[in-house]
Amino acid sequence: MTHDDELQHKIEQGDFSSLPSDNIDTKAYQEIFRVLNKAPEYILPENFANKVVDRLEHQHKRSISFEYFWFGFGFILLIASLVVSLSYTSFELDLGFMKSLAPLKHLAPFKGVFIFGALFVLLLNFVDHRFIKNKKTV
Amino acid sequence: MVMEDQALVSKVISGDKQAFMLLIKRHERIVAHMIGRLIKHDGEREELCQDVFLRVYEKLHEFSFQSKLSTWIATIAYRFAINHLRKKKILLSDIPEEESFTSHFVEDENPESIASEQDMDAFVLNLIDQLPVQYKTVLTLYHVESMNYKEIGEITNMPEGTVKNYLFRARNLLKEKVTKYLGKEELL
Repeated sequence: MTHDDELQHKIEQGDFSSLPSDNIDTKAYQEIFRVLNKAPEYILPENFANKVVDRLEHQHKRSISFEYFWFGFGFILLIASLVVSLSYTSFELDLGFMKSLAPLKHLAPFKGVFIFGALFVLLLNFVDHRFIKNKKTV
Repeated sequence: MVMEDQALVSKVISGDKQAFMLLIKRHERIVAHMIGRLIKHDGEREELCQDVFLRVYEKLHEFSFQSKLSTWIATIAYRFAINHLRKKKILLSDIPEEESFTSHFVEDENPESIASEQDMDAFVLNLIDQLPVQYKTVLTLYHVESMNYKEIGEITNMPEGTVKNYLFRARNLLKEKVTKYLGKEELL
């Protein structure tokens, strides 16, 4: 242990009696320890916590608007691409097993309802996953 | 305190804003001290402290109580300060070379600035500002926050031995300058 280390240890432990009192190193270390133990002058304003919470809420609102924008944009894009695809391919709904489902043919006029139902369930799952579950953790 | 912290953290995670405000009030001191000592630009300090707590809020669900909450928050504050200094392209000397840095720090003397210093506090604080970031961090956490080597090591990602070494070296560097100042004062 060096002379400096020893001095630092003694001052740290408050062992002032064994320190050489007329030594300039001792005096310097004592001054340094005194200043170091003072808290830095910088303090945060009284309403700091409020400001953070305000920023948090602002960020939260912004992220919701952003998510809704992308959700709407994606949905419109999906519909548009569906319409374009159907019109270009002259698509007619035939799942290949319609003949075997002849007894159910009376349901055929409602096929749009079934497709809508399936899409709606998928949509609900998506909304639940993206928005509702995420918000619970915020 | 750990139990209190656990209850508080659970409330914050469940979305209780009042609990988050309480968490901020409990820990804003340590964040202000870290940022205040490492960042010199007054206008940037408060925003940076806010950023630290926003990150705390965002990552709180990942906190597993392996360390004290204050240590974890101080780690975030330290990383934010370091990243901020890097963004500002402020030179971060990773591990100062013993010989070159010591001689530069001790010999780099501006007699006018020493003579103009009116009191020891301002003089020492000015010297602390000139130290490498790692030294300033270790000094602040040890002396102001009364943290031990292990906790400081967790925050700065340095081994305990390095923390202790930096602490002693930093105080030794300060002493070299302060003895010069005291010598000058005695001559006046």
